[in-house]
Amino acid sequence: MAASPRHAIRVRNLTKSYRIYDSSLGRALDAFRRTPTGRAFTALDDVTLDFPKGEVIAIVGKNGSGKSTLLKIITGVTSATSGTVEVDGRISAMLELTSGFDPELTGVENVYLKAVSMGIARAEIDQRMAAIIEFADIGEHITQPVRTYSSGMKSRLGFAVSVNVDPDILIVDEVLAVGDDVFKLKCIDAMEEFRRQGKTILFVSHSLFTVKAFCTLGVWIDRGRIIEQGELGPVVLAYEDFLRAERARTKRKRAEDDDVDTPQEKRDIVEVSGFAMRTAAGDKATTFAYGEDIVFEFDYTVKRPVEALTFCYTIRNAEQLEVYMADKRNPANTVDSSPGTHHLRVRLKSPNLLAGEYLLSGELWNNDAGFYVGYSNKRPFRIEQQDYLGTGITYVGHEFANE
Amino acid sequence: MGAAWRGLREIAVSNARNVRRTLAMARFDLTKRYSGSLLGVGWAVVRPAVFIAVYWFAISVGLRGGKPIEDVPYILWLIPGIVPWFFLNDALTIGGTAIRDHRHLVTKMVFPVSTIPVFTVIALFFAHLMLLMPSVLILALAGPGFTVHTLQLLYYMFATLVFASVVAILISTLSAVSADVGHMVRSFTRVMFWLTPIIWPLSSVHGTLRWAILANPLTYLIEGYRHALLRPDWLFGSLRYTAYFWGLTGLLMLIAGYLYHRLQPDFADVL
Repeated sequence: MAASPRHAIRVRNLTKSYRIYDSSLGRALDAFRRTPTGRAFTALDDVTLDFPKGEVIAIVGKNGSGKSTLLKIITGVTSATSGTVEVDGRISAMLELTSGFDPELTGVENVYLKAVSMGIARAEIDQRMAAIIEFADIGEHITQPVRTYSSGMKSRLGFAVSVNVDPDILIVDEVLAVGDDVFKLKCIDAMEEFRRQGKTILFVSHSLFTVKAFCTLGVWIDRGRIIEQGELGPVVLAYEDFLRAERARTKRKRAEDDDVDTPQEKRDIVEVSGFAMRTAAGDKATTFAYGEDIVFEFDYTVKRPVEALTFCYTIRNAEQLEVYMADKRNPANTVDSSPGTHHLRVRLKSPNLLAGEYLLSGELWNNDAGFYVGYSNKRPFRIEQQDYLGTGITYVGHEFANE
Repeated sequence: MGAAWRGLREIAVSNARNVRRTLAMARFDLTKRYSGSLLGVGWAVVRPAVFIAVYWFAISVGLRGGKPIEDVPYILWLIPGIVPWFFLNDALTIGGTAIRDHRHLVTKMVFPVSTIPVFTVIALFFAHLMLLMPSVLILALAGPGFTVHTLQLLYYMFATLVFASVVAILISTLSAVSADVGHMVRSFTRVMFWLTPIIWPLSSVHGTLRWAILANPLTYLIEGYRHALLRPDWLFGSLRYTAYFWGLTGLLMLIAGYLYHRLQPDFADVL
């Protein structure tokens, strides 16, 4: 089966389910049974994807999301339960660089061993041996048993073999985690060279930093399904936001017990009601476009005379990291503190927050007494964005010139 | 039955297509097993020789008081029986866990999995040849010498290699999905050593017991080696016994095919 000329790999409706057994003997015995006894677990659920030629495609997702299963099916290591994979070209998979090395054999012998197990003729390896040794760059050690190698040296050798067998499609799974920076750069250079030759690279890494630097397209998989795919930026942005929200949720759970309502005594002094977030046009909203003004308003009733109330607000990202907190003591933010009910309307002017989930908190303060009443406690709102401006929390503009 | 044929065809096709790779892997397997030691491949001869000496001492000197057996000294009678046993024992235990032991080939690479037990058995067979050659030499010099009947040895070597490969594929398929199988086989081979006429002669058993011992295919192979090297006669037992052996091997092939077909898709997920 050949993929279309523009695509290196085409994946159609790929589903993979495993059977889980309580004991390994049960699996062996199941071979003799008509109906299997194990429980089914779905690792990939109806995945359809195209990998265009000449692109570096990042596959991101949490542990256990199905990334490795997808790569294993593409490489042919394991078979799918249903669906098809069409591959155009020779695949060199680096699922684990150092696997397949025998500790007792020397570096050179292991190069042959690895190549033979990949199905490459001895003559072809003889031809490439010099290049492999040069790329690995481990000097005298190449003639020593691999058991004497450091883990960095082992991965160098593994990487050297994998990139020097002239693949059309290179699959790199979490392999740059090892090795020093110089070697990492060398690997990235090698992959860059591949890309220039119009070859396709699938790249899996937990380091979003490397992914951002190096990949052109992205696929985000979660629980066996594709959540986002396309240009790298938006995919990574969405994934990072998801990770932040995830982390915040666990944090929030822990904090929940500490969360206390405004005590009665406070409400006897100032009471807040009717908080709402709105667009500049006045419509209620919790989702805003990038750069759009954000308006929030509420009523407060001063029941006992207090002096000088100031308002304050804090923006946090989904991970509860503080993005901005207004000065609580700024006299410019003083509001009407005469007894009676008042309405306060605050307009946040074109904040440069990048797409993602954020939290708004705010209080009315009387600094002399150290007294405050909250009007919003970590209310979530979203920023959405059409154009991709980069990743992070806030946009930092720039101008530049070659001088 | 359909699954058995399909599995058998899968095994046959991928082994036929990858003969060169299988031989290269067997070579690596052999060097791996013996590299890093001073004697190297010499251990393939020295280790069994030590066992032979011990059995000879305990049984010939200790139990039999030096009496000859089938008109030859016990040691000369023991060698042609125990030498194929060493190979069959390794084929069952080492070959029987070959897929599990080479799991990186299954889970990290695209490798024809059914050739793994085969190249492991071939590597063991090279070691077997290294032990067999001096053994044959000793028998030729000190025993009944070479006759045209000695050529039967080639047939029995072939039968042993085929049987060992089939059994290794069958067991390693099972042991790949369940580690218990490996342990079970190791215990089982210990038992088989004593239940097969290796250190005791087949002529010691009679009646139903003799039939039971003969039903063991290992008896066919071990008595075959002994027959070829010690007795100036053609084909051990009878043609019917030979037909039984190959029928049983064929049945094991079908079982191996069936199991391989059923379990192979799980290999990469469980190893």
